[in-house]
Amino acid sequence: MTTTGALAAAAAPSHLLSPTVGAAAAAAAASGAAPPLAVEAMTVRYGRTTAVDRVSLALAEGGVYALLGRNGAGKSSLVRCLLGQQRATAGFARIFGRDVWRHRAALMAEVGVVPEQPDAPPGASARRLARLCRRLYRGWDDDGFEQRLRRFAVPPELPFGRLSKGQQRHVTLALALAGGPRLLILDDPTLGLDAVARRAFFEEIVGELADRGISIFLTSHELPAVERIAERVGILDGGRLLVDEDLERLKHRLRRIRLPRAAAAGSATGEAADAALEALAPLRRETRDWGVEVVVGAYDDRRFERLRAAVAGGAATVSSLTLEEIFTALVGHDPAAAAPADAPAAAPAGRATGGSPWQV
Amino acid sequence: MAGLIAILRHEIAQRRQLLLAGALVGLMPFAAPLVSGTAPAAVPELRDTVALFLAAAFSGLAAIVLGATVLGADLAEGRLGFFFSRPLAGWAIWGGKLGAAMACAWAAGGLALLPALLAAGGGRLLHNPMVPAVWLGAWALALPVVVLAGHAGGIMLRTRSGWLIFDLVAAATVAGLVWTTLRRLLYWQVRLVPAAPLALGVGAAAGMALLAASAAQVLGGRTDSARGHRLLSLTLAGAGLALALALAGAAQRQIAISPQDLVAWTWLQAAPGEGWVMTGGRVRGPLLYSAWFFVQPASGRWLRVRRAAVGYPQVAFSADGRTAVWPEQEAPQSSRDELLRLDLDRAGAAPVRTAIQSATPNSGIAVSPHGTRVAVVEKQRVSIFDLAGGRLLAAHSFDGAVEVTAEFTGEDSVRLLVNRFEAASGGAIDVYDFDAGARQPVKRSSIPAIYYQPSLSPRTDRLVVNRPAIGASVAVAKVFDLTTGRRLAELGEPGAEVEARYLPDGRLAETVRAKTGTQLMLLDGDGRPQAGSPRYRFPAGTRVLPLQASPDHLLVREVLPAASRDRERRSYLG
Repeated sequence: MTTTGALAAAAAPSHLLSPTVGAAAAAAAASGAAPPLAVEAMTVRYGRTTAVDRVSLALAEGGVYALLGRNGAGKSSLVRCLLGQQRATAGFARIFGRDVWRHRAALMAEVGVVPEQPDAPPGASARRLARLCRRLYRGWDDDGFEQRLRRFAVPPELPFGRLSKGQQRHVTLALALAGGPRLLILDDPTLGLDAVARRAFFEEIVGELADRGISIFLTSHELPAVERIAERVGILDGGRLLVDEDLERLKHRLRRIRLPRAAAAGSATGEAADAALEALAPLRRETRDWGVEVVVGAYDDRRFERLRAAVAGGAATVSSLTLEEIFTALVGHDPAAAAPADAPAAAPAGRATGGSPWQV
Repeated sequence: MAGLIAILRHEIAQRRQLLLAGALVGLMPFAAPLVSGTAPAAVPELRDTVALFLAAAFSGLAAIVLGATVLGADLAEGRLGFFFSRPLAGWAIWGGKLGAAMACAWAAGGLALLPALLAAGGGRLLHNPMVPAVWLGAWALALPVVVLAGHAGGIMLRTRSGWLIFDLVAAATVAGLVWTTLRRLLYWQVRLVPAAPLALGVGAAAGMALLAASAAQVLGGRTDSARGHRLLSLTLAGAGLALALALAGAAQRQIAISPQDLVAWTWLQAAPGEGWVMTGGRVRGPLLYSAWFFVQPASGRWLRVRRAAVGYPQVAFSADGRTAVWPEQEAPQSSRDELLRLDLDRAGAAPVRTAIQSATPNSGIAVSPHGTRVAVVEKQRVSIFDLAGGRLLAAHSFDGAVEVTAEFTGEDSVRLLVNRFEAASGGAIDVYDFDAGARQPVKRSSIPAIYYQPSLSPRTDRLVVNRPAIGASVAVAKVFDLTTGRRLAELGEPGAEVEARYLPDGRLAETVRAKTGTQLMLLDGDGRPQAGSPRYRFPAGTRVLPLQASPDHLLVREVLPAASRDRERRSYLG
């Protein structure tokens, strides 16, 4: 996975971004291979509202990139621009190195799309849609399409508008995969599906990944499922890209540290502990009955050992976060109280309180 | 191209129910005679007429609905992305969807017409007296424009963006420009003929503007409805304004003309004495319309005038040559005329509206010798007005008269020629004098002649009546003394067509068309040959219309034998 991190770094608070941003982009450029998908300094505005603000990201060949964000974060606007359906106010989207707006029709032969809302003509059956698409794709896989319909129990002759939401999603996915895409773009593909349908949907994607090595760009609110398949994650907040990083690295960097009350109350070691915690870049602090829970953004073992040594009794403990917890820690602030677009989206805990993170 | 065809096939297949509905509509005309209880002989014509109207209405409705929904509904409901996320060029999506809508509208109309067409064997349906075949063709050509208009309207209404206000303002501006242009054309009595090419041109221009706007919206806006609406509005407004301005420019070019722009003079009437003439004829340019001018040849000064609501232009000059009065259509589309006055002897004078109006087409007018009175003849009624103030001085109706002609003999007295029908002789002309101060006209004489192609001498004391050769009778021109009713001369030659008319200087111009050639001779006012007066000769078959631009010049309009009758008539009607 690579990133055009220099631009992302310019748009987001530096302590949230991966320390490897820029390096990955440079590596991709050095390899000479155009990434399946790259966004460069993209901005989308609707009148005075900025939906996407100078976002840059890239998807590596065969990788899975999950773009996360709360509702209204700008994901769908970004996806429409990625597909060449909407023109960005500034910046570019490239697929396989070619400008999407200019070469949309040619590029879509290699891209499968599952939109946020199933958009096939409601009066056409799955089979009629396949007949239309068969004429458009050279490598159209009729057998694969029919098999998927059977596997998802989709009536092939029923008009699309009369199918259930889950069936509509499956038809859309089947259409997207039957064209033989090298890149799959999924915009919140499980929106409105029940748990079983969501699971079936993601299993199908995982199956395709194993079979063909298709590159996938995905937006979703289904974070546990995303965590299973994504290799790299981007988090949009208020149109700005807060995070663009390999998932494993992100999960290593963002950790939860628990400090029992007894340790937090150790005033003798306060200054040293403050300094040690600052080095871990605390993002969010929660006060509990038993003490304090801090999510840090720059975890490493040596820094944590330094913190534990500074805390009375060495009682500090560390644990991993799920993607959902990371997401909540980063963008779980109250939207109404959100900082302006040019301010950091999630301030470090210590700075937010204006005092020591040990104060309960 | 494969993408375009794929979309076309897909969209048409999606609308097969509409085609089925068209076929069902096609059966309805067969039920119409049962409902209306028409006589059996009239059933086929009724069925054909109903079929034609139903087919037109159904295809028109289909065109509007399809145009408004084929792209607009997909865009509004977020379904257009399905096509844009396929390897389909924007033009293929645009062309395929709109092309399918047009094809479906055509097919729906065709299917609605097909049963009646089969029943009629084709020929009768296409020769329906109420719906000419050319209308069908025009409607078929208009359907794509209706589809495109439906599309533009659908996008504007569905998007619900602020650009709708821009659309309304642009539409009002274009409509205002076109309306103003049309009003100007109508004011100057420009006939919008030939109508078919004009309508075709306007329709094609509107169609091209709508086509360009829809292409801009789909190709440039793609699934972004706000951007698409903006592009559609800007393209449509730009094209609409350009077309409206082009129309205004072309209209201005047609209206802003001088006498030099006349390609044929079909009218010339000279004021007594030297000075002004009124002339007019066909104007250069694609539109078949005529214009009329007062021209003062000596100074080169001219004034453009309009004609009456109906009929040919006419003007009455005062005997002193200082005043001209003529009727003009009161306003575009009005059937009323108003009289205008021009002081010919005043430098820089402009036409002045009088308070005198006429609601009767082809009213006759006459002006008193010094231009203080005007007589207006409306059918059998004669009215004498004070020209300056428009006050009615006297009026009289000659009930039962076929036609009344008035000419002033003095400032307050009018000579009236009242043409009556008489069973025995065919007709008689009663001569009356009518003084503005008297209540009743006074009868002076009665002439036993049919009032056919008459010409009154400028002093109103002589009348020449032309009678064509009918059956074995010889064509003659008879000259009468109006005071006594006595016949002064009878002009004519066996085997020749003769026609005589008075020139503004009081002389009589006689034309004789014989097999050997046409001759024009000038006689005195009593119809006697003038010593030393030349004979003008023209090729055989030539028809001659003597006019007089000034006392020293005789202007002759020739209609050569090669000129077709239609052409002559058309040039007169101009």
